Amino acid sequence: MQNIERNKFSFIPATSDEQQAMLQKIGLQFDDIVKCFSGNVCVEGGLHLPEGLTEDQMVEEWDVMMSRNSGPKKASLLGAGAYMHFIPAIVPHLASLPGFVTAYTPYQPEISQGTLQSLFEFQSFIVELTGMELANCSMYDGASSTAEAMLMAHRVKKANRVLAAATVNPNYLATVRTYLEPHGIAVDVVRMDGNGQVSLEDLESQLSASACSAVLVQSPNYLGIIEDLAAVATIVHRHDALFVESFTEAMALGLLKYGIDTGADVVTGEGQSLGLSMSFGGPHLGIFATLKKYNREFPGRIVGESIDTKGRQAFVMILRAREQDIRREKATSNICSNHALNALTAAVYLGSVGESGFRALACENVAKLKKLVNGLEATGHFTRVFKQSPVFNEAVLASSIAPEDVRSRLAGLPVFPPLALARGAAPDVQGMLHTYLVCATEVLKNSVLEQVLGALS
Amino acid sequence: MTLYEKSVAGRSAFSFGFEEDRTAAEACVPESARAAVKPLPQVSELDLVRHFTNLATMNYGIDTGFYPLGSCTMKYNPKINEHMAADPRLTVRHPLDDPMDNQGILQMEFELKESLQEITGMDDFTLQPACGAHGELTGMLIIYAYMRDHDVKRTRVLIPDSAHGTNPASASMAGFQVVTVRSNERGGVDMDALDKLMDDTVAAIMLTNPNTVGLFEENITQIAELVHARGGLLYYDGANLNALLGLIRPGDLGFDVVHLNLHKTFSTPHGGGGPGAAPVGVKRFLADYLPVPVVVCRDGQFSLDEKRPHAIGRMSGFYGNTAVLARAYVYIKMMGRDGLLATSRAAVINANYVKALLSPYFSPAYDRPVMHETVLSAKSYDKYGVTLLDIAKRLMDYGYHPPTIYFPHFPPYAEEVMMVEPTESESKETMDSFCDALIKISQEAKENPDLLLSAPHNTVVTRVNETYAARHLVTSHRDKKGA
Repeated sequence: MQNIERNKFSFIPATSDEQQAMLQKIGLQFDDIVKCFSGNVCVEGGLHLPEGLTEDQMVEEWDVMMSRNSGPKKASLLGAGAYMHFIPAIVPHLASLPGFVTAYTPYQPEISQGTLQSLFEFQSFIVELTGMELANCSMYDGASSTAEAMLMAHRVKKANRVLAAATVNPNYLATVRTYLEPHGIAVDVVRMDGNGQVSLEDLESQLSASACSAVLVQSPNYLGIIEDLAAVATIVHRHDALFVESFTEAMALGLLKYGIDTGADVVTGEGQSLGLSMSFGGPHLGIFATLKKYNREFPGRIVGESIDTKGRQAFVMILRAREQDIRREKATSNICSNHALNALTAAVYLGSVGESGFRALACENVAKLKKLVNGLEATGHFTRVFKQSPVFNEAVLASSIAPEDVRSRLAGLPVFPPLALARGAAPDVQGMLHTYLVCATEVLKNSVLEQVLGALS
Repeated sequence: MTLYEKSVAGRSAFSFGFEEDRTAAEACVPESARAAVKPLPQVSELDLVRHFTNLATMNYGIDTGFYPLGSCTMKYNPKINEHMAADPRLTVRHPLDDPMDNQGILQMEFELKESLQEITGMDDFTLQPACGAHGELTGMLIIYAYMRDHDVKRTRVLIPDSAHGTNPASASMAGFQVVTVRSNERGGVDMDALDKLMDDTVAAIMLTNPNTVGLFEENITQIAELVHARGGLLYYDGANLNALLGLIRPGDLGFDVVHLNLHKTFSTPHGGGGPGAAPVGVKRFLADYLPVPVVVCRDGQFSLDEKRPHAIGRMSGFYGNTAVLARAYVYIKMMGRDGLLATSRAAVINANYVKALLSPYFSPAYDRPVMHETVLSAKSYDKYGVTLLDIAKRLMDYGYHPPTIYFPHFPPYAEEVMMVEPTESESKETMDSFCDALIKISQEAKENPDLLLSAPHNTVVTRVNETYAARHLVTSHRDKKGA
């Protein structure tokens, strides 16, 4: 075994002398301990990795690498599942307190009340925002949370078939398929109607054709359109399936109805907009809320309020008998670690923007999109598709300008360009070959918005 | 008190320059879809700051003190990692933006992949899975897809009785039937049992090595030969890789699929229950099955490959937990070749040192040197009317986080065992004081068991009544209002 000068590794405190003293107490040399490897191929001469960097060298290398990304951005016309929003300074500040960051899962409640209470508060906010009775303390992201909801529906209803609206985010749909495939559960797609919403007619006929465990509808849907959830629910329940409502843009929770009011059995979605950065795709925040009658069926962890031996308010993880460490292969899910710190971040965010702020932000998003769409239509190069359908902060626009042209026109501006949709994603518009999914949020300030319109005129 | 309980109508912590007309915006949404204003707390900025700052102090973290939670590898989380991961050049990047505008991030991911390939001896990696169990599911779905294409009758998966609960749960979620393999008297897989079970209906065996009692699987070569000879694959649960860095590689031991817990071995923080990240590595013959997209490099340009017809599909909405991957990247770069080897060496010495100090008081599960963690029994304190739980709670009074307790579950260690994992981060004096505390507690158990039975005494709350919680099922503020 190679002799290593340990003192140069700042994350390992033991000196050579101390390790010698410890080995003496153990009564073995290190080579004796790793004798159990005998008969196996060991790494000879070290891994083929470079020597370690010092902190200052690391900062330098990181800086060179990150400068290969394009310049800083102030707003995003790109949404489709990840959204750029304003994050108050206290949100990352409080969420990065080391007591929260460096703790493990709160198995020992007496010394984990900080995490436990924060997660209870998160659950409380999600119950209000989704209009459901019970929320878990997070899943990985919106897509995997939605896939788990479909598996739960299958456990409850047992039919080997589920339906998903064609208007669901394609990455969510792909994740659902990946999770369901090994269980032999068919995922059939319900057509989109002429308004860019799920076709109620097709839904009715598909549900009549054979039994289904669940129907998945997203609102606002992938095309930005607000679906008529209550109308969907009426049909779904007539056929004894569970209704899974989903969302990719949690800001919409500030303005739109979800949950029991619109007939949902499960509400799942992506909570990244609640104070989390986009970070090139993660870590984000899976939200999962359902009805109390499914409290033995849902996946993931949940915190409950209790009392300690002195009768004081105390929090603890409950309903644990569903979980993998107890039920093993019969657990409701394999999920163990989730995205607890991001749930805590969302709780800080919602506490920060507060009741009136969250509503006002949702409204600002609607208004910003409207202003952007009106402005783009006024250039004559863009026209909204599905004009009659209500939208939140994203909309589909047809355009005569090609994607590479849009990119180059916006290249000098601090905005992410909009998503170019594949042909066939929306109906063709005469003279406008290209289709975009365009997003606007509260960070698209008027000054930048005018620059965008100028560049695309 | 929760934030809702502290709320005062009219207060606000939010300062934002709205530019648009709110009433007009409300009217854009049809009345049938529009919700009434939803109740959220109304607090001032300082209310909020004090609320969460106080909550953070009610938590025990690695930055607070020794956290010897076996199998969880609670090593120090370097602060430079946090600093890098908060770089706006990484955080303010949209995942669907053009890869050409994100070459720095993709380079980081590609280099991380290459490092992990070298560390584990695997040929390719996906960085997509969000946490250990998600990695297991990804890996088992890859095996499922491979068997679907090559040998459909293989519908069962073998898992040792010592495995984490996530293993059987993940195998089951990937569509397999789980069969438990018992351990032998030395804590390893029982070869006779394996020989009997390993037939042509078995797709794979899932192993953790070192296993959950901290022992290196001595028969790994024979296991690999047997399983491969009979057409099965080997899955490596990387939960305990911290013992093996630079010493021995799962790929060289014959494993076909591995997942790594970056929030264990590679120092990313656990965050009170995630987010973590769990890249999955495979041998060449399985690479086509990795979920889309995969980070690739062609002619010095990095991109995300979505066109993979054999891929199992997608495990999440985007590409994985980029900001967590960045932390692990920084850690590996700073440790380098020798640092990673020094890490495992120190982790192994520390675990054996704690075992040596505590053995006279808490008998070790096996009379063998351990790797990165040691399993010790508190069974002998039964006679004083004291359980392991009481000992664990009393440790809190001494300022320590207890070890993992009542795990592993398999016979003959089904009860009263604790799993201690000091990691390489801890100094000799920290381990000395911790062991002193446990030894003192073992004295207290004999002399004053009530001290343990009523512990902890010095924490913000005493033991929490789980029966009460289960009976009342208060999981939100709304439940309280209803009560």
